Amino acid sequence: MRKYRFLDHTGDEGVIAYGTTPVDLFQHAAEGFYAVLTDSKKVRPVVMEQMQFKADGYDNLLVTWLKELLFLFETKLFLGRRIDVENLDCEYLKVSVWGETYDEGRHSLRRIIKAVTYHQLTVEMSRGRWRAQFVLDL
Amino acid sequence: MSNEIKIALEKIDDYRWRIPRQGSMRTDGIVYADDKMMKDIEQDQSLLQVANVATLPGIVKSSLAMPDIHWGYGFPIGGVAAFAMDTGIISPGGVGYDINCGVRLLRTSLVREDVQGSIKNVVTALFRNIPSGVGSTRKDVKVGNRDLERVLAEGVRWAIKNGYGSESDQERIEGRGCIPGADPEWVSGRARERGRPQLGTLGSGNHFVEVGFVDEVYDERAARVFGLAKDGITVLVHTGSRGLGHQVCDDFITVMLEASRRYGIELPDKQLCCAPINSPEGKRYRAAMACAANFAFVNRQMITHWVRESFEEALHRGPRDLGMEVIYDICHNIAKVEVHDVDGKKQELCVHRKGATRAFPPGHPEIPREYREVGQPVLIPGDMGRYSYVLVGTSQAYAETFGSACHGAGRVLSRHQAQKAAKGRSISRELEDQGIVVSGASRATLVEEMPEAYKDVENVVNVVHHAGIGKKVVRLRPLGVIKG
Repeated sequence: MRKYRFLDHTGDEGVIAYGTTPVDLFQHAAEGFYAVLTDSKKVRPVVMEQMQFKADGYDNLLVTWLKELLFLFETKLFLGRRIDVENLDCEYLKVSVWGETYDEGRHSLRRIIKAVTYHQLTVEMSRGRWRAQFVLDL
Repeated sequence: MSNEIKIALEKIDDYRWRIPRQGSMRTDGIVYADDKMMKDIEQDQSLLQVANVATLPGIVKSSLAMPDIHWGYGFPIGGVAAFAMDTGIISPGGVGYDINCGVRLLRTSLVREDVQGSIKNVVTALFRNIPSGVGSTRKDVKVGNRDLERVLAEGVRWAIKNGYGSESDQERIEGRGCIPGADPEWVSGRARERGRPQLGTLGSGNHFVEVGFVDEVYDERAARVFGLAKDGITVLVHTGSRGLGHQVCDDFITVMLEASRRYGIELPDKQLCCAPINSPEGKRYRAAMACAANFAFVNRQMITHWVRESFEEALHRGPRDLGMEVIYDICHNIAKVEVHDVDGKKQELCVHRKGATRAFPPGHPEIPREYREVGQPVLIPGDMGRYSYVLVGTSQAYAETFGSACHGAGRVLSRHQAQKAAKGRSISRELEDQGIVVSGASRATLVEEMPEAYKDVENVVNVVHHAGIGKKVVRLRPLGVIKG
């Protein structure tokens, strides 16, 4: 099954992620997020950032988390590679993100993300498959 | 929002269209465009967004859109909307993520032949001196917490006190480089953390520093007043408030989602979330937005200083010889309290301009004294291969659009479409063949920002000119560009 795909917006980037469970949906959403930013294959999972969030519903939880990943990139230049979701329900997420600091020599940057938006944000389950959609402001 | 919604549209004249009030709209929408542009505009959901803005409480006159209108979050890009101070709202979605994204134009005493053969050196020096791209900073710039506090509160005054430019620069910046009411208390720790290392950096994407020349003069008198003449070398700086502004917007979207519920404001789209202007949430957003705007003014001021140094280094000339002066600096993502005529009476309004430029008429007290007889300079950057424009504000703009005009070209190709169109081509070689040197941009940025990814800014500017809400002064052509 496809993990994620991009939505073609004129000025921005939409990501649609898929999963058989909320846990792999969230993993794939983060992988889609990082794929906008960089070529993730070149990122080594050597440093771990652990985080937890509370929010109302999977959609708000997802945006809150992706905002944190953006914040970590902007302030620490942290790029994630491996996502270990430790705990997830529709109000709580605990996750460890393994990755490393951006290195101009080894990593390529594709696009710079300004913000994770609420525009056309959806997380839903239909016919046994989870689907999340979010739009990044570039 | 559904793609099936069809917005009713009436043609008023060759350059104006009306979206008549319907449903929960409190007023009409007015869009500035010609027939051909309207066909493109109808392709996305931006007209629905003009109609959605018209549903917001306290909107005065009409919900407006400039000819470079395109789809944005909540409010369209190219949107202008004014709200009454007592009954109206303020919305972070009406300003955008990049608060006080804007443009600054510098003039020089140089003409084209002075830089012939040395444009590469100039571009190299600019790229060396102006941090651009991710994580890039200057070693000699250390912004401590106390400095940042003053940047946010004072704007360009801080930069000048710290040796970046002179008092005369300040006179030629919208609002003299400081938006009133800035209170750093409402700028979150996260916004500061994102912003602090990014002060004095260009950023990436569509931000740039561009060396160009005056290629055509349409209004000799206004050009003379601005210090511009045919073949004169100019520099355009396009950047904003970087991560600090993005975070302020983000923080307040969360606040406003809650506030809209609390104040019972019905939203056709979540991203229109807002609060009454004088509510605690509204006041806090205004205070934080003003801080982010001040950060952006300082950013452009510091970059200006390094532009001057770069020209001195590359051309081995002194500052007096170069004559690099600020012509003007304008915001194109901002909400400001301004006084306008409404039904024959003066009224204080909160004017949101998202991807739109203030264009005040001759005689307005807000514009620098030396420009008052011709009007406020309006700076419209185009794409990096074609041209940019300088216009002046008009009294018609003041009467019709709260003194506003367009802000740029607007994308026509998505980033993926641009990648496809550029397959197997060298965009930097193509630009070089046209005599344009580009430095700093990754291949991805270069491709996504290539000229054909944008609409031709000439069409946008011509609509503004013919509709009378701006008047063409000069056209600039690029010679060298640095991008992040």
